[in-house]
Amino acid sequence: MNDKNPNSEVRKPAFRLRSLLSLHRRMGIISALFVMLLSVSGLAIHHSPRLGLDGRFITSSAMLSWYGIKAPDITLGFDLGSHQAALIADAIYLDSKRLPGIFNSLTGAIEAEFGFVLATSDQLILLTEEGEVIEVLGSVSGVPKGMGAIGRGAANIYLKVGDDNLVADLNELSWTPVSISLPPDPIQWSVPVETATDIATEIKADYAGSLLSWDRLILDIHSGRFLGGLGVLLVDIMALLFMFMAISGVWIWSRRRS
Amino acid sequence: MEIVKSRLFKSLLSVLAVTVLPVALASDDYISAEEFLSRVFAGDMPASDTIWLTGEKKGIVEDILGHDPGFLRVRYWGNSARSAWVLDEIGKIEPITIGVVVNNSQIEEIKVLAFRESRGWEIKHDFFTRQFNGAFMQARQKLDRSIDGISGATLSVKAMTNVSRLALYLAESISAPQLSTLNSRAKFK
Repeated sequence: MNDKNPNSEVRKPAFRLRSLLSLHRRMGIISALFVMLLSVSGLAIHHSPRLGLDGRFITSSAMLSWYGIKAPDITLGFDLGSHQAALIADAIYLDSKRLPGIFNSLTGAIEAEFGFVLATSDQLILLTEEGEVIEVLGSVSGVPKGMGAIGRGAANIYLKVGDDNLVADLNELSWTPVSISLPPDPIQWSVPVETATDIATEIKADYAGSLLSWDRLILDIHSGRFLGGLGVLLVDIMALLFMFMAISGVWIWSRRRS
Repeated sequence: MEIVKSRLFKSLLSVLAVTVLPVALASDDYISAEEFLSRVFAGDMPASDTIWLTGEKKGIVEDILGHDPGFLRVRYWGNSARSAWVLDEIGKIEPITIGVVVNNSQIEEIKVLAFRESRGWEIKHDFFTRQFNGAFMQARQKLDRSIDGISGATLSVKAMTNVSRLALYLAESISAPQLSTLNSRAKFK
């Protein structure tokens, strides 16, 4: 009564091979999309400096919202007649144009004959009337540290450092103390004002658009972090899948040869 | 017993070399621009002067840096024979402050004064900056030599190389007359 196929012992390995081959194919189709995604993003990361991906930023509000990026509020602003200067986080704007450089403070802004002078706690930023940066004067040019305000008299530019008022000569780069009780001319100190709503909106949109680079986005797509923890898990599963396919592929190849 | 002591001493020396030496190398303190200039001019710092970047000069500076310099005027200390420059250039995102001394159209010294990026700080080491010593400019504002890169610091190396080219170019133009139309802009009131 033995109904066992006498060839079943021989057929078993062949059956296993067919099953594995079928599984290998299915997994191959599933992983093809991920292989393409990882290859393209990997190539982009590899050539990121050449493609300038770290210097290009994403301005899409949907994408910024996906990352939870929201521009901070404007710290403070100063009126410059027909223009406004504003500090937001580590950036200074003249109207809606960002000045090159990183600035952690803005203590005042005044009009000058050549354009404008903006003061941080330890730097003076000289701008043309068109808002181009002429030069940023720092401590190496003798600019005093701890500037609390900048102001104008009839003939001079004044800096407030602690309790002292200094006359700033931007040609000679000299900073001469003046008597507080006997100022040479009445000083109009620059005082903070609220930034106009339309300019503030433009500044915030521009600043938010400088926070997420294409480099970051592609790195996150490559690692799966674009989808958060779930994305990382998915990439882990894909990595295991690739390992399975490599091993099963070699095994199938060796079985067929033998 | 002497052999054991000797081996122990050598082992301790090896451990110290492995643990302390990299820390010592990495702790090359940055110096301020004022200290740099004071050292370069042996405490007798000359008054500064400026060069305006306009017209053709601006175009050449853009070619050297690969982008708009972002400023119209560059300050230097010294004269056409020997000058010192403190220049900022973006590495990847943050500006790197670099001091350069140009002596008779050759780089005498280049030094990182402030490094703000998280990667690429290796360019501050002498073994790297030494490559620039004696470098001069050839046609089209290229250095006379190729600079060996540092793995993982490609952008910082590029920034320092560009700054060295910029300083050499600007030093060449110190003696060149400034455009008279700009003289009025040089006075600030």
